[in-house]
Amino acid sequence: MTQTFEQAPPGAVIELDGIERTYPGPPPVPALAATRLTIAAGDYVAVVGPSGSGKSTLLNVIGLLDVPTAGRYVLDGYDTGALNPSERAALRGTRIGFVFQSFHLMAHRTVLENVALAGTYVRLPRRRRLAQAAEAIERVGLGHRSQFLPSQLSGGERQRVAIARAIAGRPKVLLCDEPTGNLDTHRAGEIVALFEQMHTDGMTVVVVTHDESLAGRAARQLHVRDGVVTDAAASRPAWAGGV
Amino acid sequence: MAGEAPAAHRSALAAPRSGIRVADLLREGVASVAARPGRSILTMTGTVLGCAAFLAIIGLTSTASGQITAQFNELEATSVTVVDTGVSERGEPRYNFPEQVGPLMRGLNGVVDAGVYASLNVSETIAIRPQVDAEASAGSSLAVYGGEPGTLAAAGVELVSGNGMDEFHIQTRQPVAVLGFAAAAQLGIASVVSQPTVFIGNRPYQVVGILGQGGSLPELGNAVIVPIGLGLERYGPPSPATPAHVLVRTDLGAAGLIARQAAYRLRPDAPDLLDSIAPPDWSMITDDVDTSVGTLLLALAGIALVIGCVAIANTTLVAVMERTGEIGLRQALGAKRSHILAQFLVESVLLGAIGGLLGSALGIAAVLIGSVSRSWTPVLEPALPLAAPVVGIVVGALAGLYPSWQASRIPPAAALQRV
Ligand SMILES: Nc1ncnc2c1ncn2[C@@H]1O[C@H](COP(=O)(O)OP(=O)(O)OP(=O)(O)O)[C@@H](O)[C@H]1O
Ligand SMILES: [Mg+2]
Repeated sequence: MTQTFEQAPPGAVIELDGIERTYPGPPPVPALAATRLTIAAGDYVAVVGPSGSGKSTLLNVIGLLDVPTAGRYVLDGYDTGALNPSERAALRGTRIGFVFQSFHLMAHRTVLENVALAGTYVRLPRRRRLAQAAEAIERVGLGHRSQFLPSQLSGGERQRVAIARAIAGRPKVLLCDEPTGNLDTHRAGEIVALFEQMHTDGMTVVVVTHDESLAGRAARQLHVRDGVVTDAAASRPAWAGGV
Repeated sequence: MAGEAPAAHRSALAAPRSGIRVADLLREGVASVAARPGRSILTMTGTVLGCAAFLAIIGLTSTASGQITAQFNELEATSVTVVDTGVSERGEPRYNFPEQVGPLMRGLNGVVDAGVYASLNVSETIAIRPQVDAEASAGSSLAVYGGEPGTLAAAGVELVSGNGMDEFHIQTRQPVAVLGFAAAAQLGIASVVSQPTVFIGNRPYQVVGILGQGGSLPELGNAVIVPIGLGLERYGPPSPATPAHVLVRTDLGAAGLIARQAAYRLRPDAPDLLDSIAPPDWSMITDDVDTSVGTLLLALAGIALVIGCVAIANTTLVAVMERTGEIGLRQALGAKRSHILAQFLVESVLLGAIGGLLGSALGIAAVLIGSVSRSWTPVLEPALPLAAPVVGIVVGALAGLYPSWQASRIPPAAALQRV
């Protein structure tokens, strides 16, 4: 347990060292205990655990949506604790793609416009955004739906739009919190296939899920219980990296 | 800690910075406002009504105070006449106006044009051919007036032929003449093209202009108008019974002020030698109505604007709550708190600005309908319709401040938990 980052795999994209997240009370909730975790670039990781165990908290910290109360977090080589809010926001916008259980699509905007929102906050020109959006929509197989409104799509299609938006900016990491939670088994299978495709294309995929079959197909599984993260292959500590 | 080395190295590189292009910010705002047109219109109603009411009240008030009625037309409303007493301090006939009345009066703010006119004592015959026509024109009704270019402009009478007199003719006392329409008809001159000449006695005057009908000085209809300086030099001062006048055309509403200033402007040394006649002050008659009713209406318009402001604030606040997920999503895509604030502020300002524009259009329409239905001439300060959208923008910005600030304080993780 005395290892330093020097021994971490050189391809590590996510490095948590002693990360804690305690929600201020009263009473204070220690949602994430001191966590040491390394995720290598190109990893496909499933995060499982009972409800309330701290999975979303972990994902939010990794996604820079939440600030840890203690510890050090290095994302893609950037020590995130040293960044100002503008840099954190931009790092979030460029390195990470998010997929949520509720798709968070803007109801009054077309599929293309929803996906083209990616890159807006890193000053990407609109033309570039539209081009990369069209490409991402093709990748999730919705090219024929790009002028549709979200309300005209099925649940599975909506989640694919959200995935297109997440990958449009070619982030290093795809973070998914219960992406199939609102979908039936068949639709969920399509989504899982998409994640596997992203993984094959070299993207780092981290999926929080209750879905056994989805978790089982990931290369690496993390268990979260009462805020403690452990690798499923219990012999190995979580920080030791994947595969 | 050796382990910090690689990370520290990377952090030294410039990390990307969050930012949004102005065009994108505006586009997002327009899209959000346009996405819910019904709600946007309802939200704007208060602002529209407030701005419209302001414009309508101010417009109708100014229209009413510059009104053409049977007794009181616009020409009269903007006419000031300055009358010479026609005598010196010792009671001898004298012309008391300075030289060049027109340029002097035009130097006053609110004066459109001005000029002197004076009936001259001419007993000689007026004719085209002095010898031949002498008898024919004897006893004719033609009169000789001294005048200035500004006189004709101020009287609102147009030239149907020729260019008329100019300041050069006046200054150099050129023997030129402008004919009233009746005088021209009597003399048989239809145009200045053939360079006709009229003779007063045996002095020739080249005709440089022929007046049309109309204007506020009908007495010029059968007049031969010569440069005032020349006329005085040749024919002496007008008789005290028919003294010289100065006609001043003012801006709407400026007549009273100009009337008070005119005598001092023309004869600062002896203003008592001149009398100013201003048109009846119509606004005085209506002042009581204007102030009480107008103030009440303006207060109502102000209340409408406040309601409009509250409506926009309320809608934006509701929108912030409804769109919490969207706020989280934008943050997930790299938006900073200030971007969220700007986003909602742009939307509320847009609502206010569009409301102001619509209100402006509605207000102008109300002024037009209100005045046309009574065949009044609508009068509206040109800057006012432009002021309405500015008022709308201010209303929208005020309304959006608090909700936008609220929106920007929602932490992204919490925002995204919402469905
Ligand atoms: N904003 C918050 N304030 C206080 N406590 C919180 C907050 N968010 C989460 N918690 C608590 O932190 C713990 C971990 O929550 P978290 O959302 O990470 O669980 P989870 O593993 O994602 O659960 P689920 O599977 O139900 O989504 C829970 O006990 C929860 O009540
Ligand atoms: Mg969760």
